[in-house]
Amino acid sequence: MTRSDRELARRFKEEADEFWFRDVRFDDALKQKVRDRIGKERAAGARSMRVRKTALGALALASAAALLLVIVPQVSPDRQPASTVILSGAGGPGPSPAGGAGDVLVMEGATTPAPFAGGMPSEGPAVREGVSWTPLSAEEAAEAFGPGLAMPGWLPDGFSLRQIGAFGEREGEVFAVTLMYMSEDRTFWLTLRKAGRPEFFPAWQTVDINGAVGYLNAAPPAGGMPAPAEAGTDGAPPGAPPTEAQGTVPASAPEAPAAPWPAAELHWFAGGVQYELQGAITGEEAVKIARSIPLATEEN
Amino acid sequence: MERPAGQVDRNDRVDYPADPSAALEIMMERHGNDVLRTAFFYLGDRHLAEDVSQEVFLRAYRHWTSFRGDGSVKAWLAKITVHLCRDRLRLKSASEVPADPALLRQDAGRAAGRGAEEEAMRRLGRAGLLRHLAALPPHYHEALYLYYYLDLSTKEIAEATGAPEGTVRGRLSRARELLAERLQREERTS
Repeated sequence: MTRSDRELARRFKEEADEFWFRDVRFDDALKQKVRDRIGKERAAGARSMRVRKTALGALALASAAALLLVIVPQVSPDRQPASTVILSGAGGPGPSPAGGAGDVLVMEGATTPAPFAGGMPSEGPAVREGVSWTPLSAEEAAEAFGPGLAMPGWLPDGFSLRQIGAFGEREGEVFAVTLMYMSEDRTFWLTLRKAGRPEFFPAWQTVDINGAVGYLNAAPPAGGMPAPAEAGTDGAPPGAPPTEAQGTVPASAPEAPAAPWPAAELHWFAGGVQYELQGAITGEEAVKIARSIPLATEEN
Repeated sequence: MERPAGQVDRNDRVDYPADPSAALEIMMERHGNDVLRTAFFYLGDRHLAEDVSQEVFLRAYRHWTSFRGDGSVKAWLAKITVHLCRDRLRLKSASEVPADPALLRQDAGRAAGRGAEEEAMRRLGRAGLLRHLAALPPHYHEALYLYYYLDLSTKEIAEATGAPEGTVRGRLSRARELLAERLQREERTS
C-alpha cells in the first residue's frame, strides 16, 4: 500500500465507522444467538441419533451374535487357525443375546460400511473391502498392534471383554484392533486405529479425554437414564454458555422413538492412534471408559 | 499429551485452537464486527445482516476442521460472508433489492422513516469520501470496501468475489482515479 493508499484507507475506515456502521456491532447477544443455534444443531444431532439408536442397538446385539456364530466354529480344534486364540482371558464366549444375527461381520474381502471412513458415525465395527479381520488374544493383539494398544481400566457394571479382532490389509499387518465388551443386555466396541491425524466431528459435543479432545454423540434410552458428560469437560472456553456443554436432548425438544438402551459414540486421538468407542452405553459411561484408557504417546 | 494441531493465522497473529467451539469464540471476538458490517454493507438491512452474520459463524464452526489455514481466517470469513450475502440477494427479486450497496443503505434509511433518512443524508453530507464513493459506479464499491475497509489483498478479494485478480486490480485502480478526481474537484470548488 502506498502512502496515499494508506491515507485513503484511514479516511474510508473513519467515515464508514462513523456514518455506516456506528451502531453495527457483533455484540454479546449475537454471539449468544450463534451459540444457541449450535446448541440446537447438537440437540438435533442427538435426536437423530436417538432415531437410529434402535438400529444401532439391534445391530450391536446382532453383531455380537454374529461374531459368536462366526467365531465359535473356529475355536473347534479342527478349524482354529494356529494364530488364533479366541477370548483368551476374557471369560469365554457368552450366550448369544439375540438369535438369527446374519452376516454382520464378514471375514475376508467383505464389503460393509467402514468404521474407518472418518467424519461420520459408524454402525458398529464392520470390515471394508479388501480388509481382513482376525480374532486375536489380548497378547497377540498387543504384539501385532504395538505398545499403543491399551485397554480400559474401568468398565460399567456387568461388562467384560468378550472378543478382540485385528484388521489388516495384508497378512501380518494390523492397522486396527477392535475390542468387544458385553454385559447381559448391552454391547460396546472399542476400536484403536493407527492414524496420522485426528478425525473431527464438528457438530458433536467435545469432551476432555485426559488432555485429548474427544467428540461425543450420545443419546439416553427411552424413559430416562440421561447421559450428559461431566460439566466443564466440553472443551468450551471459559464463559461459554450452558448450551455449549449440553449433549442431550433438551426437555423442550420433540420426542423421537427411542430404544430402552442408551447409545453413544466417542472418538479421540492421541499418539498416532485414533480411538473409537461406540455401542449401547451412556455418554457418561463412554467418557469414563475413555478416561480409564492410557493414551498412546508418540514414543509408542 | 497429543492434541490436534491448531491453526496459526499469520495475518491475525493468533494461534487458533483445533477445537471448533474455542476457535469460534476467538473468531466472533476478533472478526464479529467485520462480518456483521460486511453483511450490512451488502444487504443494507440490519436484521438480514445479523441473520447472515450468525450463519457465517455457524458455517465457520461446522467447517473449522476443514479450514486448511492457507489464507487468513479473516479472508475466509469474508469469503463466506460475501457468498451468503449474494445468495440472499439472489433470493430477492432484483426489483426488491438493488445491487448497489449505497442504494441499499438509502432504502434502509427510507424503511426506517423519513427522519432517519434525512439524518442519514445529513450525516452523509459530512462524509466526503463516502459521498464520492456512493457516486461511483456500483461495481467499484465492493472492491473499495473489501480493500480499504477490510484490508484484504487483491488476491483475497478475488477469491472472495470470484472475480479474476486482474479485474480486481483494474477496478481498484480505476476507482482510485475517479475518487481522486472528485476529491480534487471538490477542493478546487471549496
